[in-house]
Amino acid sequence: MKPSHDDVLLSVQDLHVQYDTDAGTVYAVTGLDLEIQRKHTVALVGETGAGKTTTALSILNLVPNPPGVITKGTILLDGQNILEFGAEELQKMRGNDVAMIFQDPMTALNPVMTVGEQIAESIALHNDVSESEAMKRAKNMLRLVGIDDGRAGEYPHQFSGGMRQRVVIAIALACKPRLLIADEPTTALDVTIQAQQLVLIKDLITNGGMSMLLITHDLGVVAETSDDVAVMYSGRIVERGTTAEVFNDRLHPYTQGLFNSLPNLRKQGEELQPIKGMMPNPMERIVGCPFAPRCEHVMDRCLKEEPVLKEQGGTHAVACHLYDDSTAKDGLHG
Amino acid sequence: MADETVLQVEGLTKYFPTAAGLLHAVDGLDFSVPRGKTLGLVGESGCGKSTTGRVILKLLKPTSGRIIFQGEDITNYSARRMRPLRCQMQMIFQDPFSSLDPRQSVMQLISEPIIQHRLLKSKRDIEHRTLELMDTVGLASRYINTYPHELDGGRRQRIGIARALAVDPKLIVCDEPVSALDVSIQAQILNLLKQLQREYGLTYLFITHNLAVVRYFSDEIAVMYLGKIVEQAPAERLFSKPMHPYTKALFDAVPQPIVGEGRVERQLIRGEITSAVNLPDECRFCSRCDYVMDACRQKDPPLIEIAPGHRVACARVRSMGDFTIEKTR
Repeated sequence: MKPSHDDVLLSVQDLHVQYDTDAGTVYAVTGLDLEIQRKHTVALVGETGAGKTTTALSILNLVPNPPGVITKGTILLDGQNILEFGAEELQKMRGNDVAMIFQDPMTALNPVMTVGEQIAESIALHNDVSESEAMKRAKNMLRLVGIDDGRAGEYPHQFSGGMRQRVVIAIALACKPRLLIADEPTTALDVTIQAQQLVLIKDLITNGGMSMLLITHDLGVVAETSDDVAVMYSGRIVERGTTAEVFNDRLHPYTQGLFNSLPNLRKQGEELQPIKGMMPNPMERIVGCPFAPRCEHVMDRCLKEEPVLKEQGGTHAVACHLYDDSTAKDGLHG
Repeated sequence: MADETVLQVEGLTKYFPTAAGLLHAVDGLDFSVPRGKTLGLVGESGCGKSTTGRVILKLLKPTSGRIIFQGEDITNYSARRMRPLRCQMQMIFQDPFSSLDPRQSVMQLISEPIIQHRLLKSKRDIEHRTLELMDTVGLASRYINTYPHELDGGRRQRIGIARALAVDPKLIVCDEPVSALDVSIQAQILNLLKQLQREYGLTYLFITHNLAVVRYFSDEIAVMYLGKIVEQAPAERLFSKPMHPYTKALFDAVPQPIVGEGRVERQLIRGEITSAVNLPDECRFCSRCDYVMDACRQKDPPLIEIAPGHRVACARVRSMGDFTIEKTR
């Protein structure tokens, strides 16, 4: 079923972001479309350099400028184009409507402020409350993320890596944002801690009725947390759909390659099947499909014409010429 | 020759003095690795797996215990006596970004160990060997004059592998060799390491926190927790019959890329790995264990063999034989 207009919280349309550097122009995001529904978690999956983080920064209008420029596109949050926001409106939006959790909990916190003060700071910034009320709410947030509120007066270095990441989560959710952007929130953590954090974030999001854009390269994390998936390659979305659609019926050769590269925990595999080659140089304008040089099914057409995202039934869409007519589709599955 | 032991460690310990007391980084390890096989060492940050690798290569001096390499007790060898052995034991590091000198070209990086160990003298031979090594690790010869910063992580890691291979080693300690790489590149490097093992009969000590990788790669696996091996078994056995509550928790913690059918419910453990300073004589996993009982707090359980090649350090496993038991909390 197609989501009705009211269900959509965030809609990114034809986004183009580039970085103008001394060495040349880097085309980081090239025509990206993305939708996030209310109360949904959408995973943005892809490898280093695919443009995931640039996409996230664009949603907060935080792409460092210079060298970054958003050259084209709209980003609608509840129907309002945030790319047209002035400084004041942006300030109001960031942290309040859209919050972000960064990858590294070690560098995201201020080492000379207590964790309580850091949470209270973001509450006081967006709410008209007294200092003591802000601190009261901050302590409440600490309890929510599973930290004893008696530790509000301690400094980041007194906490372990996992606890620090909990503090970061508390700061991000303190103002009950409508959208949480989590950029590789658990990558820097050990597996047992990683699992605890994912459960915690997911619970808080669900209870607060929030949406989340989860940026990750870990397909296991996606299966664990997300309603929908968008697979990103070379600055654009090459496949999207519900997590079940994409995981159980992988259409794009890149998506298939990602899964085949994974060593399997539940059964001992034979030789892994890596995707050959590398991602294209983002400083070159690509003609045709960006995955063509690495693709086993490459056709003449792929080298000339860029495929666009086309729906294949349900919400499942893929940008690949193989699926343009039904005859080519046979023999690809599996 | 098939069963010849390349590496054996006995009662290996490494303590570091800290302001708070003695840090038991590695606390009494016993294991051996036969020629051409891989022992996987898994555990979370702080469990002592990397220290173990460094002590074995004598990059750190062990506090006590013995390291026997190809029948030779090298525990107390001086740096000078170690020198000829360095050709036979090599290391591949985690981060191909910081482990390569940024001012050296690929040619200089790969030929450095050949020159250092005086394996070849003439410039032509050295260059020939460098190109041969590049070919072996799948690095195109056109990169010979490039510098690390011009290359991506996968190619940089290939340089690290070529450097290790340059001296024709018998044992390679791989310390998280693929954790800094993207999955598609990860698979390329894992396949390469496996192919090299088959071709050259290499023996690996494979240190990682990634269970899927260790399973794919290892013949035998040892799970470490706070400086000790808590469970060790042939890879298939460990994954089909994990006994130690920590091993099970580690398996359960890994998110599976499966949606719908075939998805397994997970049981997560609480807490985090504690500090290895001033450890009391009790099971080190006590504070996080769902199956803890009085006996666990009285004595640190020894590693006991419960089936051929399968050793577990858990008071419950010893008393019950099997682990079909109710949680205690």
